[in-house]
Amino acid sequence: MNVVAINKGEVDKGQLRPPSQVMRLARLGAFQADRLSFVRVLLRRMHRDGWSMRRNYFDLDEKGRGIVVYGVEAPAADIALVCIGHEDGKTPAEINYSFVLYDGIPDEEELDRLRKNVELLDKGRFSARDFVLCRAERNEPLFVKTVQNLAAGKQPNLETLATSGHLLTTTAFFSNGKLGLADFERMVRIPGLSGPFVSEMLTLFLIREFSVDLVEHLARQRKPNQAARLTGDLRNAIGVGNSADLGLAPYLINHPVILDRWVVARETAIARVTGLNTAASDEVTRFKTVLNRACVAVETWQTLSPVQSDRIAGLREGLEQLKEQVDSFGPHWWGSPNPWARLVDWVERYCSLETQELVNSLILEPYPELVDTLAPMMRAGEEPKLDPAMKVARLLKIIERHYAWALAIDFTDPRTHHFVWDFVPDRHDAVLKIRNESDPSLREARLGMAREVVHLHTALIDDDGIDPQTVRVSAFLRRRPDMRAAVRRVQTIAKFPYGEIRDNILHADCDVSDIVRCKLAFFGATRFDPGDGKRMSALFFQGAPSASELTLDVDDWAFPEWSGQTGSA
Amino acid sequence: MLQHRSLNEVEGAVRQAGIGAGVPNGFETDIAAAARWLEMRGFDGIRMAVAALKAICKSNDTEYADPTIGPQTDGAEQRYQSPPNQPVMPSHGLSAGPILAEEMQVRLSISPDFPASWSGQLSGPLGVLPFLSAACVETHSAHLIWHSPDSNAHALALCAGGAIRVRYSDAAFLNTTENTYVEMALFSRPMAVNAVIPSAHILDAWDLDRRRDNALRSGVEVEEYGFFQLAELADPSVRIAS
Repeated sequence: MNVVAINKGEVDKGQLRPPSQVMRLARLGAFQADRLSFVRVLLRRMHRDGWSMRRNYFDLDEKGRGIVVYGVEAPAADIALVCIGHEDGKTPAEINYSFVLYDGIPDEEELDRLRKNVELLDKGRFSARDFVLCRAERNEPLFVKTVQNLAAGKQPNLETLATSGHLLTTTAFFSNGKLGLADFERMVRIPGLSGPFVSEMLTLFLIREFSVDLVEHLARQRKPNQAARLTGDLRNAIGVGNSADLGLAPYLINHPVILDRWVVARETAIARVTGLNTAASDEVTRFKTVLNRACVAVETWQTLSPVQSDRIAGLREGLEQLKEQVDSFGPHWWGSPNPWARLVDWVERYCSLETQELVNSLILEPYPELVDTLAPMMRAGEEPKLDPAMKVARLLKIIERHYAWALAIDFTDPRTHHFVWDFVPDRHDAVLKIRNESDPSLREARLGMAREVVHLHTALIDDDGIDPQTVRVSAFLRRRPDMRAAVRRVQTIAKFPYGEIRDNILHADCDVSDIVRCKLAFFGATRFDPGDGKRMSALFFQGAPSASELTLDVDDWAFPEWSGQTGSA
Repeated sequence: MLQHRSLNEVEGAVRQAGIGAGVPNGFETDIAAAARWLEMRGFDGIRMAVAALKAICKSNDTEYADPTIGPQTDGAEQRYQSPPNQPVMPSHGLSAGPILAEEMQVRLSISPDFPASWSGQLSGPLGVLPFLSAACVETHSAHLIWHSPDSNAHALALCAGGAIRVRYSDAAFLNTTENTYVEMALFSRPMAVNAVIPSAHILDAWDLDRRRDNALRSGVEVEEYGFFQLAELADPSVRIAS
């Protein structure tokens, strides 16, 4: 392996793709899961630290109503997932199950408290012992068919199972203090739960376990004597679905430091690999294997969205072209300097964004020692801060350097502020609406950073009372306190340039689902489906080892391959 | 009635109330973070936030308006956007805090050998503490805030290391809604604390970190009425109707 030059030192910032290239919405919306995705990080951690899981409590009736508790033993921490199957009429029809990730192992009294509060839906109140609340509905066709097959003592058809990919779809996620749940700071102090979105990913992983236990239980209830259990490959082919609200999008805009850390980690990984002088044959083989698997996996990626359909078609085409190219490369090609950089260049020249970003994820697979060590970098340790002592001239320079793209937008065009993010009473987040200035109840969440920064730039330029060379930001803000958020933003982006999406997200043509997809890609989701544009569906953990397999190799399941076992249709 | 709330809920509710109350864009983030900071340390951050935001809203009312700042169309904006020659400081510690702390931080960065100080009338002087604390960490300095004219002055000191020295029972006056004469200073050297505050005024050491740990283990128990008031502030249509 030829990593001598690069595996010790950090990659120079100048070797990363620049923010002007990476931070465009269309590209972020093409991001794919990779070795640094939070689901992968979690599984590696569970494997490394010897986490174990068991079913502590199982009380479900013949219709799947009742409570199941999974206990997780992590080093110095006991965590439990409480799964609640709702009785008909207690919750809306689309909420079949609720889940709470809990600090410790709950007793009867606590289970009762949780059950009562999940049934109150958004009026429920939780405590600092409750980490995550999640709701799910059955993926009805596959769910019913799987139970029928198992009850008849048969295994379901692997292809059908893998194509649909999930028995349950999670539809709502609450954490970080919502509804009284534990605050982030509290949660990350639990050994094992530190790092971005670890609790959420653990919740999804355990829901996947539950979904399998659930169908097996229902089959047994129907035919106690003949019901079958799902075999290994079939179990692994089941992931857990997630249907995310577009309300996830503001998170990446409101947390520029976090976005920067995530993107820089990924870009550093890509730069480390493309910076390699040569590729060893086992590394090339590994890449070819995952490339082939990706080609197969992309075939099962379905969507109702015409835009995404086109993107997938382009991706299939791109991957086929790439495969042909790669097959034609001999040892000489791989042995010549910077093979990965040349490969990535080729893809960038001839293939779509969707293909480019998938290939960027794939080239990381052969290099765990170069990539996996970057995961701790994805924790944001800093809040955006305002530097009051900065001179206005410096602030202007930063704007002109990092926001030239925004300064080029003509905001007199109403299409540039077609959308608005509006705070809704009783919800702590904003929802996307078409702007109606005459709406008296409008309380805009100022997420259109392009517009905010352009206003700031105009205010700085137009203010005759300010000499940019001598006046400091604090003095400017005394005159224009309404510019406070924009100043803080600009100063933050100067330090964290990968923290800003370099597109006007209020524009009529902007597709916010791209932001949601970007976030889910960092989580490690696959098979994104923007559907009709109101939600983003995706799949988690398909192909991943199950809880009982954590002692095995837990890191070779990206774009899983099925062994071709067939069962009943 | 007391109810369990996460710190994130405290912060979110204050932020929305700030937007509803019409504070200039960005101040709501600071006020909300400060309310969380105070709640985390056992102070009544929510009550202070309500008082601070109500003070801003009140400037809608001509009776309370400063005659020098002209016609009040949008009280909050006007109050902050006063002409440069006649700067009007928000009257509550929590909303004046960002400005005061930053001004002092700038002054200290220009002449590190002299303390940056400010004195004036503020209600809820405790509200400036989160901001001075942040400025203190930024400038590696120490800051003090004290209630001066009273001969039994009680001092609240915060060093760069993060230890607050205060007698808790005396902290109540810092939360007052009445205008109070306040002096504060930011020093470039932590040792200045001992030099400036007579030792008699430093009563009990207070282990901040331990309190924070406790808060994080249990969230905070808050008066529901505070949240009700924040929700009212958050919704301008409700506020105008009332």
